[in-house]
Amino acid sequence: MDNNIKHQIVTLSNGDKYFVLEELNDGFDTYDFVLNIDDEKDIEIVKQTVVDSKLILKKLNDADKVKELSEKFKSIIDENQKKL
Amino acid sequence: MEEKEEMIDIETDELNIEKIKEYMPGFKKQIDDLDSDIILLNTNSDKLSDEINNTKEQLNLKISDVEETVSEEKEKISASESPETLTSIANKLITLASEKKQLEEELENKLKEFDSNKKELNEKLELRNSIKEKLENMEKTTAKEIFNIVNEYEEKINKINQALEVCDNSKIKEALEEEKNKMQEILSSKKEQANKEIQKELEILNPTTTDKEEKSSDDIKVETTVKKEELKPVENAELDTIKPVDVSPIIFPESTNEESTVEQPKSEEKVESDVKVEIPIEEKKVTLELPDVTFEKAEKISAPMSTIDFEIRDREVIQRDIVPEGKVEQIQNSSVIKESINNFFQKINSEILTLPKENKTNEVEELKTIEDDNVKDASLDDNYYIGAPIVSNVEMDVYENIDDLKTRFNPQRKYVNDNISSVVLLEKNQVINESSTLGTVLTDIKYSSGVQNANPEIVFKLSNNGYILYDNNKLSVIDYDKKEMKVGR
Repeated sequence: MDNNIKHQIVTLSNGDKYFVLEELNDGFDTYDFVLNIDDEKDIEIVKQTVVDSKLILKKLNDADKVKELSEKFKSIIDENQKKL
Repeated sequence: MEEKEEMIDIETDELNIEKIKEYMPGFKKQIDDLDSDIILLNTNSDKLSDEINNTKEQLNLKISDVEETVSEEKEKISASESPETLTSIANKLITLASEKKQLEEELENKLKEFDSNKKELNEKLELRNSIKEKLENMEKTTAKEIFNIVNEYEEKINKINQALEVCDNSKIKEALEEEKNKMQEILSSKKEQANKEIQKELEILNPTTTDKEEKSSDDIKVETTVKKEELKPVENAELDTIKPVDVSPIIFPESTNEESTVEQPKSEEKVESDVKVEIPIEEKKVTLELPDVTFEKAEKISAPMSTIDFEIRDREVIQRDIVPEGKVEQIQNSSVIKESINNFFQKINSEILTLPKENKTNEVEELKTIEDDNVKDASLDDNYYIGAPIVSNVEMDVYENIDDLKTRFNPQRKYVNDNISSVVLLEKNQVINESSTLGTVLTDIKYSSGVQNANPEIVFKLSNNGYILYDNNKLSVIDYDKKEMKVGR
């Protein structure tokens, strides 16, 4: 299954819908920078995991990881904004 | 019908609010359709039962008629033995026998129809009960999902409250308050959403018409009784005493002393269907008690900052929709979304990157060489290590490749909380213009350190005028003031 969900709207099992603004892979894991389309102020960074062929967006508990990923995402988004 | 059965195949454990929304009206319609079918079948059963009883009554009358006729004709036969009279008697008996047989066939057909009707009724009832069970499971699942969402946000708010209790840093407190307010807004929104969802379900399941309520108060019971009348035996007509006439032989197989029987009902005293049709659409008492969140009641615990959950919970992606290219750009260019993104990064910077006061220092510990124990312990082939050997409060990080390294040390980032004051990224083998400040610095470094060929890809300027150079898979640490350079792997 292709798990690249960048620029897709994903509906989660709790009914929330997120637009995937950016996606990055650090060589091991894939992370997504997602925007809640019902509440446009709600932005999250989530980690992809696949369990029994089901794509799960997983919460992150590691503040350092969040910090690191947010910097990466910011860099990518800033770069994209320049192109727009 | 096939469509309906396909819908029922959904496993309960796969249900979620979206699927419930999608399937619940379908199930509801199925139940309505089946209720109509069941009522029709019940009516049909009653009608058939009446018809069977009538037919049996007619049959008994016919048998009595035959019996009476035979008795009368016997007397006539005794009085006169003329061929005409005998022929007339025989013809009458033949007609009666034929009528009797016709009635028996009719009875048999009606009993068959009754059985078929009963079978169909049972099937529909079974299907209806199955769908009703699915609907009940759906309701439970919906309520569970809603509770989960509400609990999730309450848990987040509680965690923030706990963190507020133990946090002394005003900036962090401010950010936490902001986060708490945001969570409260979301919680209120979710509560409102939950109430709407429940209202919708109630509307779907309990239409305002009193029709269903009336049905619900009366259980429809199929109680079809086919009474077996006492069938009187037809006495032996003693036809062997009658002289042969030019008619077909008269055969009265039932006109013996045996009880007249009809095979289909197997002489049951009462054919009764025990099927109870429960039409009621029960009143759905889906109540959701959403507790008020009282922030003052949060218990004071020493929860570390790192336990604060800023993320959404694990959720399965159940649907993916491609967004058209134009729409993507529209989203990316939306000022509201841009602001949200900026706020998010600011929030992360203020809440996570800001170190507590006691950790803030502009002083760099004594420079350590790459061969320091810290580095040796962390040595992994083909990875790059930045931080720990040089700056005490920058944690050791491992980077897989140069792109990762560049992303991590973004030149545009303001390094206010660690000892890296700026970063310059250079393309590989880029010639540094020695007239520039950086070029001058690098030239100085090169010459002072004796590394004449240094052409670093990345230069990290430390706040104490030290530098870290990444060059050809080697990390060089320079204490500019001391003009000392240590070269690692």
